[in-house]
Amino acid sequence: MMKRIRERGGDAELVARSCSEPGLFEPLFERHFTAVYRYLRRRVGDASAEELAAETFLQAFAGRERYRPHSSRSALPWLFGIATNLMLEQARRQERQARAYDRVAVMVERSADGDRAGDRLIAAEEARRIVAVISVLPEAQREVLLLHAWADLTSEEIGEALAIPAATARSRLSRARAAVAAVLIEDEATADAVEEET
Amino acid sequence: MNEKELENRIAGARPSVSEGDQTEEAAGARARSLLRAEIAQASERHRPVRRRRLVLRGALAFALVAAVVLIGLDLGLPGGGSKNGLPPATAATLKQFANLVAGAPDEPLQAGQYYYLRTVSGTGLKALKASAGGYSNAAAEELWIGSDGSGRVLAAGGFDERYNPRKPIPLLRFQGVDLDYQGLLALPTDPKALLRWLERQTKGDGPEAQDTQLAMIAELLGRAPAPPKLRAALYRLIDGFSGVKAEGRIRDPLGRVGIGFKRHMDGCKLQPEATCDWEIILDQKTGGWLASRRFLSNGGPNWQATVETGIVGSVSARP
Repeated sequence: MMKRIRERGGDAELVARSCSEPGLFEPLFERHFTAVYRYLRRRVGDASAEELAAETFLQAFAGRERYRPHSSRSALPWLFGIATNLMLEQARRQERQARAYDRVAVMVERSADGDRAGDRLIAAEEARRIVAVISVLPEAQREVLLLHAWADLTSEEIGEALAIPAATARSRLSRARAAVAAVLIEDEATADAVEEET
Repeated sequence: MNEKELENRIAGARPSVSEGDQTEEAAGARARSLLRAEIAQASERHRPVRRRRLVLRGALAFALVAAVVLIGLDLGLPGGGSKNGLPPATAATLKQFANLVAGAPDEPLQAGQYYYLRTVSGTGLKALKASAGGYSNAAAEELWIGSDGSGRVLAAGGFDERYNPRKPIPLLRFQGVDLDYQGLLALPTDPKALLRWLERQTKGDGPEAQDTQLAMIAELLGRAPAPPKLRAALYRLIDGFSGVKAEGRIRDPLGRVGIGFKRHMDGCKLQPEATCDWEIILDQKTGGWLASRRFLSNGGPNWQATVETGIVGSVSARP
């Protein structure tokens, strides 16, 4: 993690200097567009991800004078925060959040050793179940969990992204994990019971 | 199950995306091109030319004087203050618009009729007009609302949801609030009674209750086929919220000129420390609805604008 932070050490300076030299914002785009776009692609699918990712950078550029770097000095949490807001607004507007989750749930990553159809089916079923649980979590918990699990942000970075204290991010993350774990444990207990009966 | 195993299982549910594929490259190229256009405009503005500054200052001063004169003349604003402490122009303008819309004919939907609504919504300050006549940076949505609760929502991306009397089309998209067309007709048209109804719907929202109430008002005005008297009551109700200010003439995201009303809002559900602004834009001649916008401190505006409304005979007909 420290390596990643050091590599991104120039973000704050780039944003600050871009206020008087706007062209300096472009290297920031080159540095972070892919990460933001891929996260959005996983969350909302290809069609919406492109629009949201482009708008994320347009809004970041428009609001660069308000940017205040936090401890990591990386602009990525700030960008993820803008992307998250845009995504949530879009989902609320279009009443399609549940469908978006349904859609991404079927695009489960194939594991390296999961070539056998049965394994893939089980993995896909579990992924679908996890995504279903995540989709009904309270919004605040869900966003924290997915920024951590799918965008690899730390609690401190999530705090920056969502404008909440890192401690709040940690407690939301903990509650979200507990909710997912409870469902998985219940599923496994049910599966064991069925196996014993047969 | 330990924490590490749980983390791995949640991360394993992450949908795969093809990294570095054509879709990603094309998306990057289009986004880069949009950003470069903004950067070019900003670079132009940052050129330190003394003469240009003087011209700008002069233009700004002229625009301010012109705006004050025009708003006063066009709206015929009365003098005096408001009991709510709002600037006189805000209270008077809302009252004027309430009177205008209250006088419209009240024509409730008959059996077999549907209220048709076409909106576009998006992010950013405006929709970008496309050559095909549609808008880019915006998602279209069409609604058909029947008197018996039946209806349809058709949105970009293949979303097509049908509703029937047993599963009525929701007029307010807020969790725990069920409002169908008959419920809408039954809403009080007395502003005080209407406020009490809104307060009941937002009970438990704590300090955010007023923010939610304003969001509901915008939804009732912009999405629901509210009868004229209810619409007027909603305008009068806005006057009761402290901090709402008339902005004068502004353009909505589709470029139409209207009168804006804006309120700074403290906090929104996801980001307690963030600030959001609520804004509605009304037609300056008729007082009719044009658009609404929300501004997030950690991001820009999200908006929804009405493009067309009408009465049709089926959930596939358009005016």
